Amino acid sequence: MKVFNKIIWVFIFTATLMSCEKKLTDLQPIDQIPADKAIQTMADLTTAVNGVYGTWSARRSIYISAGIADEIRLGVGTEYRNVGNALYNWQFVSDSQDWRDGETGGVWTNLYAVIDRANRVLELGAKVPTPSATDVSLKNQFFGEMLALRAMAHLELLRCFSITAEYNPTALGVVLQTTYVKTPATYRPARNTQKAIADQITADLLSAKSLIPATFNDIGRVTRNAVIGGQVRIALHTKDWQGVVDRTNEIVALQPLTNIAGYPAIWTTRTLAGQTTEVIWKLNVTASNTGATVGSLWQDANAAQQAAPAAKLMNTFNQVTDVRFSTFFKTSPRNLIAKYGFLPQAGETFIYDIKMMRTAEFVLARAEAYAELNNLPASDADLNLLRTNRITGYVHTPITSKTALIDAILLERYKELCYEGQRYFDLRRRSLPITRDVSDIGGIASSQTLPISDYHYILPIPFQELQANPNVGQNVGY
Amino acid sequence: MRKLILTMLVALGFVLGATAQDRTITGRIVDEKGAPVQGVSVISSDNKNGTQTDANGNYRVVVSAKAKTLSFSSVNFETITRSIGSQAVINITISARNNKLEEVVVTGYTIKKKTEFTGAASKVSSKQIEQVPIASFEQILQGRAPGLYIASGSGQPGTAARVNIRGVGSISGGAGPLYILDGAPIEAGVFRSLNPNDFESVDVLKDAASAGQYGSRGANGVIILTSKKGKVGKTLLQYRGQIGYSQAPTLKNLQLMNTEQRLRYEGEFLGPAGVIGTGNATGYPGWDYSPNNPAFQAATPAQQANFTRLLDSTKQINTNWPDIFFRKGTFKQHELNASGGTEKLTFFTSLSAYQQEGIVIRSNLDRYTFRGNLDFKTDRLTASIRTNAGYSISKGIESESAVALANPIAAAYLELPYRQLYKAPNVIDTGAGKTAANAFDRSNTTTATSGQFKGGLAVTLQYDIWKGISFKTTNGVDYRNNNASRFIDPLQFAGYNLAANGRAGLYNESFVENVQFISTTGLVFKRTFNQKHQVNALAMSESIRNKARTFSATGYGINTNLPNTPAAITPGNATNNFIPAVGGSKFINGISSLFAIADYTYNKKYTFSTSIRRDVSSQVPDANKDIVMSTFGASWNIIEEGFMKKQNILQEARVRASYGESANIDGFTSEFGFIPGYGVGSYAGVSGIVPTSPGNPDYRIESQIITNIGFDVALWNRRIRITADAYKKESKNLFVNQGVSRTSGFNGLNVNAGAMENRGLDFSIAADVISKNDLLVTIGANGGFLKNEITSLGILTEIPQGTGIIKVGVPFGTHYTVGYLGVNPQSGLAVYQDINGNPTTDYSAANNRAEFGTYLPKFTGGANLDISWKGFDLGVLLSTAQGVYRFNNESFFYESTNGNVQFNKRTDLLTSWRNPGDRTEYQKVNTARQFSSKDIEDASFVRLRNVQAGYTFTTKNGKPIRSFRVWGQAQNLYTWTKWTGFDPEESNNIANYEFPNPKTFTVGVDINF
Repeated sequence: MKVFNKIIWVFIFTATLMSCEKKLTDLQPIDQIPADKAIQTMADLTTAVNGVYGTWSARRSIYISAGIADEIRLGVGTEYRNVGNALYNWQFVSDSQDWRDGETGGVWTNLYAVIDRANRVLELGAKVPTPSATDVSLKNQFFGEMLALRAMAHLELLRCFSITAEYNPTALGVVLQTTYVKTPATYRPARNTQKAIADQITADLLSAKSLIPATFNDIGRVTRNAVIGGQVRIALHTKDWQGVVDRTNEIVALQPLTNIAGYPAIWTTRTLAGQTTEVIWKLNVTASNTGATVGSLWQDANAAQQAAPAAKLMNTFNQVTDVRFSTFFKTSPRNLIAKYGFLPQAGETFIYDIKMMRTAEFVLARAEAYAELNNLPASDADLNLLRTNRITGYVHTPITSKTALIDAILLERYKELCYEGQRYFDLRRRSLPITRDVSDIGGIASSQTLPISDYHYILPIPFQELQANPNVGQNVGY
Repeated sequence: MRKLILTMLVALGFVLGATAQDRTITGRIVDEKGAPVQGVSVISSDNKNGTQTDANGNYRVVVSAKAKTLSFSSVNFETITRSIGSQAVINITISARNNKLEEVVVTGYTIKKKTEFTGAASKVSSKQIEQVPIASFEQILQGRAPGLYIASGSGQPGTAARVNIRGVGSISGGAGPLYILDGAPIEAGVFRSLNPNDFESVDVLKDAASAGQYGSRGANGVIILTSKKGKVGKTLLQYRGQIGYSQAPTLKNLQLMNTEQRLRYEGEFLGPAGVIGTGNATGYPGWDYSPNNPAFQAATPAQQANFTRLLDSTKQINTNWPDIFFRKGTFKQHELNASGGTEKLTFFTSLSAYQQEGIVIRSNLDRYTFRGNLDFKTDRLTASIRTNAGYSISKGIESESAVALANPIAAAYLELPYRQLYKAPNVIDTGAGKTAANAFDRSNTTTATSGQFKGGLAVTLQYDIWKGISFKTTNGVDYRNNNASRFIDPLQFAGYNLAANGRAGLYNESFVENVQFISTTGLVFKRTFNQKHQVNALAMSESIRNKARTFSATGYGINTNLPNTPAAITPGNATNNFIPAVGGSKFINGISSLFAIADYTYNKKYTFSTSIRRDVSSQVPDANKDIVMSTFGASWNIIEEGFMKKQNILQEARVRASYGESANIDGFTSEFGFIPGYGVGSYAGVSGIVPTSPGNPDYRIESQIITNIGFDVALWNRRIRITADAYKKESKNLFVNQGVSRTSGFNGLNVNAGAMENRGLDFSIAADVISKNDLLVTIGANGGFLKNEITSLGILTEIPQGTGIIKVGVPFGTHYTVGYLGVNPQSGLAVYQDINGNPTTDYSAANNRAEFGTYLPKFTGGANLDISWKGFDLGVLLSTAQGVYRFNNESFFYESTNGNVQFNKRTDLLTSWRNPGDRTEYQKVNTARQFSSKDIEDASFVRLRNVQAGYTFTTKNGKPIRSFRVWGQAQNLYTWTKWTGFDPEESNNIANYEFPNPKTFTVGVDINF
């Protein structure tokens, strides 16, 4: 009996210890949602989708494109704090600040984070129950948005980091990422060919187009129109000229160009509503994400100027009749980039939504495609269409040569899409050198022309990626 | 019924009394010198009778036949138990207890006699801790214990220091020791609300056999604090007080320009080099009014005369900016304590008030503490209750330790000597570029106040069950709440400067709450068999829980009529930009443990000790949750051997060895780092979630194996005492932030890939060089040599971290920069080293090399001199750290000339290169001053840490005051160093205008009632 008692005591003691141990050490995080519990309901899915949009820092490509190409000149004097110096003067190396994680130009890291987060929504969200028909269509829409974001992030990476200047199907592009990485410690992917990436982009956009209902019209997210815009971009990049024409036809019918009268409001209204202008897709910026603002790339809160508009760019405009000149620039008290606000201006905070896609881009893309397809009158008509909607009293002189047309179209893109992250890629896909006006280079002769033979013409894979993943391989020269 | 029982008991007693044969035993108690001892309690084991010795040491006690032993106990002497047998007279020589502190090691779970201790530990006694004018007790330990490195990174009163026992054993995690106060853990690094005077002793545990008992908490060593307890006897009441002041250390290695030099520098160097512009309105009078200036040459004679006059009047201004920001800070401390008790109950209680002004304006600390300790004892039960509560308020400076112009220490040295604080009486000359005036204004129009409440409770109960087995439980809680507030005046420059938040000041309240609970419960066994086999063992279960919460809220748009209150906050909206910033966090973790500790001593000669422990932590995944560790130790007390009896050179001789594994629970950088997780994100203000942690299923705790061999000897009648220990500490599974492919959506992952090794030698030696009559002169020295090396980083070989690098084969904390060789006499350009060490004038970060030393010292130590003669006493302490190299970021500002020209420069820049052939240390003006090995300086130092002298007056019996001592001391009196910054002693690798440690002078009095 005594022995039995003792056994009971030992048992009770052990059981108490065990339960105590579980209570003490089997804890769930408080400030963190375990990944397997993060996306379980439609409400979770909604917040996870928001998280993906919030990840995309679009100003980074804008900064890279403006800095490396011919859209800006650097600040001067004591107010200039060396922002963009290495980029602008083509002195960057693979671990320059411009490519690092979290830095202004860290496009690689940022866009792969977008892709990873979109992939997580697609995979973790697959199990989310959809009790009602509304839920089913909403989930389809979310998945369509994620596929489209994944496609467009891949396209941006392909344009930035491909080993060749122009699209080359068999040459190396970037890493294709269609699932989220489960074992990051050992994951060291090699790059895929440009065609593999382009095919995936095309496929993702096609799926997205069927998943997103046409009634969804929040331009702060990816609508069906934006998916079509993405299709134009990948077609243009891969030189599928007929594709460019077909998709642009589709989109222009849905969201036509904004006219001269309506144009300034696109740039002065901080938040545009619905599909009422030619803005097809934008990323929202509010007081809660002031770090995302584009205007603060050029001027800081104390008005110190880090970049001014390139004289080369300003000189391409008719400063009186072209609505774009007065909208994009200020010339008093000094030359300023005004596309996303400027200082001094009362109440200026640089908080403006970032335009990701506008119909103008696609009209010019179609013009280029028509020219390439040797439909020169149609090409010329598109050029005329755009200019008529920008220049007061514009009288068009038809252009009849293909080369002249393409040159005119590229110049028009330079003017229309400046500071929208397109210029560098337009030059690259045409294998054109970067040339600057001598007045823009601050006396540094080596910063005037960057031939495509210079390895700096192609961006380096960030050193941090290469260090963690040697399989990715570096671009030539770095 | 009650009556009946009572009657029966009385009857029983009568029967027993009648049958027992009472005897009388007498005897005399003397001390080691043969002098009689009065007041010794004599108690027989039947607990019936007790008595005390008289003035002649005699006693007389009646015992029953049941009584087997007599025990003799007294406050000041060792307790002795003797069997009675048939003796009628028992005379005893008892030995004084006053060496007791030296002879035991408190490991927290056990108390070990030093002769039977197998581990490595050092003890610091209350005498060395008390009354030092430092608020955070760990800094008082500097130079007192070998292998214990204390580096104070701030002279802000109350700031905790960096503490490492036997080096750094973690790459990215915590490397500081575990602190145990009276059996319960207390939060590391938060000591400003504790009164160091309350501590009886501090034991520093350094090896497997001591610190290893703490398992997953023991890898970085353990500091055991034991608070004072009352002693049986008369109640003692003591008042102690001191007053004094602190002042800034002397900057003998930093010479900056005065007005005359600065003006000359502008006129002869900066101006002609074109750095500060052309014309005569550059704002730099030394150039604007200089005859070297082409604009001067072009001016009319009248203008020239005016320029000369203006230059002359500027020369009259010579502002000593450091005098404006630094001050003599007053120091005051008062303490009242009482202790005493009976055999059954003793108590100790203290109250203290501490007020210290920092040496920089605005900085101060006020502290109030209470302690109440109670011990009681019955036949079987002993209980100890330890309580403490402290409240402190600290006022900090702006931007402490930051390279920021708001930091008054930076502002004081960067500002030009010809500038002035006031532009009109009582109007501070603030504005863009007014470095020091802005900082001064900011100091006065902002606040940074932090209140801290800290409370602790530790209760230990022990109940004797049967034949040396007892039940023991220790339960404790450590609570800390910091409540900070910050105010920036909307009317002043600092408040206007808040451009992003509406330019109207701010008010912030934040709190941090930290609670730790511990419960240690189990059985203790202590018994000696056949007087030869001594066994001590315990088996325990332990539960630990830590919880913390933080919260902070900042509001803007402060109503100018309501300064320094949250009521002044204007609600924010998108147009006024007063949107409040709110945030916080919570965390929880726990450890559940089972452990056993045992040791066995044979005939006082051979001791074997072991411990085994299983810790289960909430901070690792299930697969790695069980952390099992064991330790072993052995010691040989040679002096007890027969062959040692014949010699009379050595009085103590022991060798010790220990080996074991422990782990580092502080190595984790987050509470749930192994779980892949999502956190809050947002898309332009719309709430979202984003992945925040990649997770790591292989996540495990950092662990280490430490081997120790040591010896203790005493010779010359114990007048020379030597202890030395050699050790090797191999740390593995150290967390390394390994970069991952960015295609995973993450930049890095914490993996257990690192390993490092610390090898070293600790020693201490003390000698009573003179010991006769009333004069005792003791000199002592202690130190630790240490060699650290990173032995593995997994798939990586190096991880650059700014100006430092973590690299296999070199020590932790190694600097990483470009080598600097000097100035080319022909060109005046700086000459650097390329990656192979060859000279080049091209500076490139690609030439960074890891060859310029580490900020972790190779040797740390201390030396002391203690003299006592009659009532007089003197104590001197020196402390040192050698082989320390630190990056002096301040030099960059004093030496760069292609920028930062608005700041004051080293006087030596007047010797900058100007013409081919000039041999100088300072390159041509307006050439880029790069970070290089030139900025890495030897920060080794020897410091006269503390000098204290006092005289104790003793009064005759019966007076209200029994004795009192008057004394004076100086802290950080002098420092020998080559370092050119403020203070060579610092907690990190880089000097960024940190708050220097002050020199403090105080006088005090201790009165015993």
